Amino acid sequence: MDKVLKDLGNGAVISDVGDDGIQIEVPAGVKIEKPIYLTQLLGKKDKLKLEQGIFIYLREGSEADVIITDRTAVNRPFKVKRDIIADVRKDARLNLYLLQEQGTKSVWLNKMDSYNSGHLTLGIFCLGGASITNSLLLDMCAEGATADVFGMTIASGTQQVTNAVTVTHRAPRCRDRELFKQILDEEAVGRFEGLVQVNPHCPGADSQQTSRNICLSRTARAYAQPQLIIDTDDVRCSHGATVGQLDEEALFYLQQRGIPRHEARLLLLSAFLNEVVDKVSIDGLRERLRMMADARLRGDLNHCVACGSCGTFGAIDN
Amino acid sequence: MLKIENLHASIAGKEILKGINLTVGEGEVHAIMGPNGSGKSTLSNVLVGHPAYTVTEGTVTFRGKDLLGMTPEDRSHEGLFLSFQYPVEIPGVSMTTFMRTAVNAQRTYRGLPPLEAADFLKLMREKRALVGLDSKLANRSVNEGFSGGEKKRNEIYQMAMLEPLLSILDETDSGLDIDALRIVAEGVNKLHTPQNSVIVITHYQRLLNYIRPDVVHVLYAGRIVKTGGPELAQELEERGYDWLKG
Repeated sequence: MDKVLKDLGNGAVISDVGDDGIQIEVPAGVKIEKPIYLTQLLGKKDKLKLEQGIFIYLREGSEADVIITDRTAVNRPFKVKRDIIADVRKDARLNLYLLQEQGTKSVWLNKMDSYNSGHLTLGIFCLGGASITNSLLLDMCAEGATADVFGMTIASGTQQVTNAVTVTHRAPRCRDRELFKQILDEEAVGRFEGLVQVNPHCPGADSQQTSRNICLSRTARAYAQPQLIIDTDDVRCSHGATVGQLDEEALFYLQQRGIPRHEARLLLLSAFLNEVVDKVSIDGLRERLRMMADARLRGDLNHCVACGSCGTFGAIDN
Repeated sequence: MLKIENLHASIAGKEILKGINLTVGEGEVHAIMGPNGSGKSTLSNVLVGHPAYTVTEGTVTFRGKDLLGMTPEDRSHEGLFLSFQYPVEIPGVSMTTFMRTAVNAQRTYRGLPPLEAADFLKLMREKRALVGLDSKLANRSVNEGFSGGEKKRNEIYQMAMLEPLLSILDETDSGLDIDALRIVAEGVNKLHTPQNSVIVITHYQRLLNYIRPDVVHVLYAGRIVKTGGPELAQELEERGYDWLKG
């Protein structure tokens, strides 16, 4: 029996569906004004292995913002496997954000299946964890559906982050955008595995995959694999990827104006990420992400509680 | 103000400057002219500490301090400014953030508190008006999508914000039409005081019609081969550089 955790009004509810599953259901035409925050803070009493589910149903013409945040209060080797299902019906609008700020020993696997007939925005922000994999299958199910998917990764140490995004156009004239940016330092590995598949009889597909990467050390690795499988004529699909270092001429220009080298580096790294952060439609969240990214680049993320047990990362700025 | 003695510098193992001697006094305007490849831009880059260049011999003192031992940012804090020949575009960094960070870094170096937001915005407005920089440009990312003339005017705007003691204008006239050249030169002249000095590096004499030098030097093959008054620039315009090569 489902247990209602929160009544959002107008028939919209968040329920506990058992087996570590949470469901958000929004009836047709209902617009949830305030963002829904699902925050998981794993502590001493939590099991090390967790399997979870988050199920989001947005009926015709409904709207919701959902923010899923993962944090750890103790730095233990948590292994979390999570299924996310997002069913976005015609003219519905889901803005879904994943914030990943786990400690340095956490292993996370987010598997998302999305049946999108409306408009899906998906932002993925990876700042923590030992190994994080976000495996996303996005089906574009009705004519005119749109998906705007973007992400930023800041990784150092031996962190491994993978964002695998497969978009399948099952209906004509759908539009998708993927923009992933990664800053990788030390021995971190960051992957973008993009695949856009346009099925037969889906003319007018409009797709663009972009992967941009900065490697700050010789041992950091960025893998960018944007791919296309197109079985319809009359589509517009493009992809691009770059891997590089910080622009030395820009750094020098800033230094000549008196900005110390480490500050200049932070300015350029933040600027690199701004394009992704600016896509977030919630003002407060955008500001929080900017602060998180800045803190992560300066190496003081997770220092907030000063408990020393949450697992901290060294500075990217060096 | 600036004293360069027997300066040798190379890039990628190739010696470009082969013993430069130059002294610039307080309030003076010096022009350095010379054909392409003579080392003009190398000299300006070496003075501001560009990492691609290596100084192999010689000394540079700036207001009595060893300039070559300082980081690029400290040279800036000490009052050295370069108007770049090719200003860099920096997408994602707004002009406001850039200038606030730069001005406050300089103030910190000089033991002053950071400027309050309102005071900073007032300063930006004043300096923008002084050099005639469009307010639309001031709200954009650094140099992004600026025309050649706008980039050069933006350099002079930054110069106005940072109030350097010695400004090096590296080919500020390149890529400018005559109107843009006049506006940029007027900006430089407005900022010139009896205390601050300017080194104008240029290929042609025409910029010197607007920014009047006290001393003109000719740089050729990594050395200063001739020094004279303003009339030397005129002579170079008429006779070219060939007569100096012998």
